Amino acid sequence: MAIAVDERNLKEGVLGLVMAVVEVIRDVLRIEALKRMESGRLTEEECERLGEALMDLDTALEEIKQEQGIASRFSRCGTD
Amino acid sequence: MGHNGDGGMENMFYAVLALHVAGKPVNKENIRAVLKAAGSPVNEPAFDAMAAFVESLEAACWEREKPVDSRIIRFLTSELAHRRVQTDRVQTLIEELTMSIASAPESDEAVLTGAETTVAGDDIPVAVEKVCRQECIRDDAGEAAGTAVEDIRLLTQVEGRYIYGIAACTRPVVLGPIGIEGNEVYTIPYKDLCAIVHNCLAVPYQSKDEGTVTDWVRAHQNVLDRAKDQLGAVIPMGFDVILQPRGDAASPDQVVSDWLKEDYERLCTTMERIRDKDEYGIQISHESGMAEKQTFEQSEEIRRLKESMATLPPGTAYMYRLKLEKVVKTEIEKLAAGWFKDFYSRIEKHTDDIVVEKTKKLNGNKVMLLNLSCLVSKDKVDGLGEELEKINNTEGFSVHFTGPWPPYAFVAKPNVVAREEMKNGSHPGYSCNTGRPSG
Repeated sequence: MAIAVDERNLKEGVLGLVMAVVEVIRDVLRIEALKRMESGRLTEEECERLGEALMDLDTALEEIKQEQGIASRFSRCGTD
Repeated sequence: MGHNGDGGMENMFYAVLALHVAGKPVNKENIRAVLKAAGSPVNEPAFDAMAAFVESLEAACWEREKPVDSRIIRFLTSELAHRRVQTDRVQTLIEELTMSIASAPESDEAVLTGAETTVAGDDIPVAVEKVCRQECIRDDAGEAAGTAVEDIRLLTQVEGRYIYGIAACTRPVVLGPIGIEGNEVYTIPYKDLCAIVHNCLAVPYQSKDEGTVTDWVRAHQNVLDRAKDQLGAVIPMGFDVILQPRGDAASPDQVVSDWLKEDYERLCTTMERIRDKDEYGIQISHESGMAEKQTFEQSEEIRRLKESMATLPPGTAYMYRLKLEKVVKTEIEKLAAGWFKDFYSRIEKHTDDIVVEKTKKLNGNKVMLLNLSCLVSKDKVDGLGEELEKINNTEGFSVHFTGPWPPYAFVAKPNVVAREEMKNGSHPGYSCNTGRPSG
């Protein structure tokens, strides 16, 4: 049976899904980063770099969401 | 045109349904004979098409191994009841239909090949017609209404019993037409227990219309309330528990009393447990952000983290913020767990049993902290009320207290029984959804 999909719908759906997956990965990265910092094995410089990288990731994600008009409810499902 | 138009089609449709309900082969000859007997004109092209279509459907399976689909009976009953305008015509037609089927006229042997003596099921058109008449001419009801009720009972006897609950009562009691959709509610006894039931078709009550469902659930609740007033302790069943016999072996009443017999000990234990007790729903919620606020004010670690963040380079500050979020989350959970424990232990003192339910999402800026179903003896209710009043007066918290309910949360769910009985075989089939009316 064919599924009727309109192109715009499909694009939004796939993008929403991709963003959700990326955010899940981001959350895992945050947890891992925090673990390393708390272990005390990171130098101050490494800690700063890790934080900056995560910040950049946040900014990039935010920009994509803005550009594509994806509401955060799409991309936040199930990550809490 | 008037004669051969819609009315003709409609009569043909009823003729087909009547033949089906009466268990006669639905073929061209029979439809024609029925229409003729009813004095209804025949629209030839439509008749041909309809007859060919129905014949093809019926050819393989008219032998009536299964009872008439209850959807058809439901449709016929409601359809006839709603068409008050045309009742004269329809009534005459159905009267004629019934006569031509049930009294086996010699004039047309072909129609009634294999006709049997009239059995309960074959009276359905009569019953349907009487419902119709009862609905339409209430003033003349009198005697006819009485027989109609009898006929309806016959009609549904092959079907199921909707179970509202179990009461401790030895004699059969009639609670009156207070059931779902005004059904007559009565009891089926076994020893000192009895099931509170109404006769119904073995089809679950389902509707997409919220209003209809609400009415059904209200009626269910109302029956349980009335039964409790009249009969004392009642073990409630959830909405839509219907018992039906498997095959034709036992009558539905028999199936219900067999079930009571089978489950007697467990039901007696449950009855003892809930006697003189009611269920109350307790939900405690707090303003959202309250836990966060208190955590920020109280936690030493959080204050330290926040202070050190101000002087750090951006990347490291980001990492500290992550740490802060984690600490705050843990602290909030600790705080909420403390509140829960405190309230739970205060409530526990005034109850006989507690079931912890899932918390629900609330509208507005409220967060539900705990959701309990409590079994409470009558003499403890006042104490519980006072305790809840104190909690309600605690700043930031509010208590939602509902009841008394029938003790839905403290009686074993009937589907457990169903599974046991399935294993033993030759026992009733169940159709059950358990739900708790909210409100």
